[in-house]
Amino acid sequence: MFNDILINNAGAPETGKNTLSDGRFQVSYRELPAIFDRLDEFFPAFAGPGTGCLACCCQNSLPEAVLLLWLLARGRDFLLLPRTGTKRQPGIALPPLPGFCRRRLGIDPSAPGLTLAAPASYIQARENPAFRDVPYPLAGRGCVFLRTSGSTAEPKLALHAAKNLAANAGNCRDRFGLTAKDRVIIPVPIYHMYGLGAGFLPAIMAGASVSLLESTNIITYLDREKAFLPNVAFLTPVLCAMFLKARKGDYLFRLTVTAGDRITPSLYENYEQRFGPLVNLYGSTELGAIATSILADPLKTRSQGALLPLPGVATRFGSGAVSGDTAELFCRHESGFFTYVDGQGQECGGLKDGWFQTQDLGRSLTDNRFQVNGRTGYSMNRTGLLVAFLEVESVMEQGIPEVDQVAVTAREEEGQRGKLLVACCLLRPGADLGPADIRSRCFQIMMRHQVPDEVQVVKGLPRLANGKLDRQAIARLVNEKS
Amino acid sequence: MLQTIVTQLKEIIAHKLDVNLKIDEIDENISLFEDGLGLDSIAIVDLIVSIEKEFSLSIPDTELNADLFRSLTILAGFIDRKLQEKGN
Repeated sequence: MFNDILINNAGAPETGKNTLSDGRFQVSYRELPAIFDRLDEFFPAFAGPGTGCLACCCQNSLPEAVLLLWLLARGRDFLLLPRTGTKRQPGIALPPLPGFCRRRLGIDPSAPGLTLAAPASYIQARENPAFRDVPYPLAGRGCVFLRTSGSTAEPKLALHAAKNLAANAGNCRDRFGLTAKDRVIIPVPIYHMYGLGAGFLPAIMAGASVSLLESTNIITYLDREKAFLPNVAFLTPVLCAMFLKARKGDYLFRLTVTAGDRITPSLYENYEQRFGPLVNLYGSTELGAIATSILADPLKTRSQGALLPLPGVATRFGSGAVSGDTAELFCRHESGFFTYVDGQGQECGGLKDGWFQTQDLGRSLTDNRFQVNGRTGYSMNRTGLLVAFLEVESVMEQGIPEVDQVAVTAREEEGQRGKLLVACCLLRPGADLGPADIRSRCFQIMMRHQVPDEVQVVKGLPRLANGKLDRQAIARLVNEKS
Repeated sequence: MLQTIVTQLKEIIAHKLDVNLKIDEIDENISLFEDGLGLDSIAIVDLIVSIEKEFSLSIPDTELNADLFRSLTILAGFIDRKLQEKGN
């Protein structure tokens, strides 16, 4: 179906001239078929014989986006990954490739002499040393694996049939009213479901002009905005807050979509006042786009978080109320993922009787709307990525020799990245390391969004009778101190 | 004057931004972005706000561009020109 969409975009007068760009390269929909023909000729050489699953490294450069579209158009199976590593965080180990991925395809978008029409000028393929020729679900039927977000340990892979991704994207195209007249800017990563499934693919399906931005800093964004003049933007609450803080002038978008974190009512309302209509999207790597705010609703209703499910989505709340009328949210999506898969291609759960346990808390509202209030368990979203407390604790305990045990909790105060993350550290006997030094070490051993905002060195950690950390007591202590 | 501004910028980065950089680690001749000093989007915004406060300037969106952040030396040159315009 992606092949048909792209062929149609190439031939239709209202879309053929529209372009995909990244600030360095630009290609029209009309030019894409010829580039795909070059990739068809090149593919057997760079990806080896046979089919099988490829790992495709893709951030927001046009060459990578074109390769991604080609893989979808040709019905290939692939795992979507970010480009590897950053030089500032050399201590972070990259998750290994799953064993069923034969090769990793990578592109260096800064390669000199890169020409889109010459794939050899920019595509590299590396063998996966851990490859095992094992079966995986939906093999050979055009499937896409997405890593669940935010984790540096071996994350679960959410397996999507390409046709479901297309249906999911069609929902977004329709809900956002995307057309060939739109100029869509996407500064969020397209290797994540939000950037890919809610932004990039819907824009492609609409035949809109698209500008991809690799870096989410305000400066490169402003440079691109002046050149591209977007009327639709896919942002995050952090980006919205940066717009408000750093921009002196206003800019009217036809539509801004935000997702990834909770957006506070004041941020929602202030953003919309200066930059135009804002829609908040709720979704997940597993189900894609689940629900959005509706522009026809009053601003107050939208800013308070009221969401309407997309077509094909059903929601229900768990039977045990957490507090008041808040309970855990379960969703069912006709076009959601197929299953989780582990590194060996084995199914490892996902849905129960067709329902997905979101691990988000929310409550039902009137008119088929609902509201999401936070996470269950010990995790939180920060700058659009999931932070699991257990993972941060484990990385600190393993990565900082002076630290014996860590308990991570959230402070209710909001910081620039979301609620404040606090790490309470018990040092090894005889160790001497202060909170500032512990925090400094964290920058080297974990992703930025996982770095605790505050570190405390404690003399003891409260525990339950069974020996486990008493997280409620720890949270109370941390919030009482503030 | 330029070197004074560079020093002030280094102090802002080391003491006011949450970026885990000490003054002596800050190279004034490399990019401020991820490929250089590694300031992320939140840090860049905080830097702009701090510059406006520290130097009593207002920097319109139209004057912000990626070239200014290719190094602290370049950024300091921009601030110096803004201060001179203000003085005039």
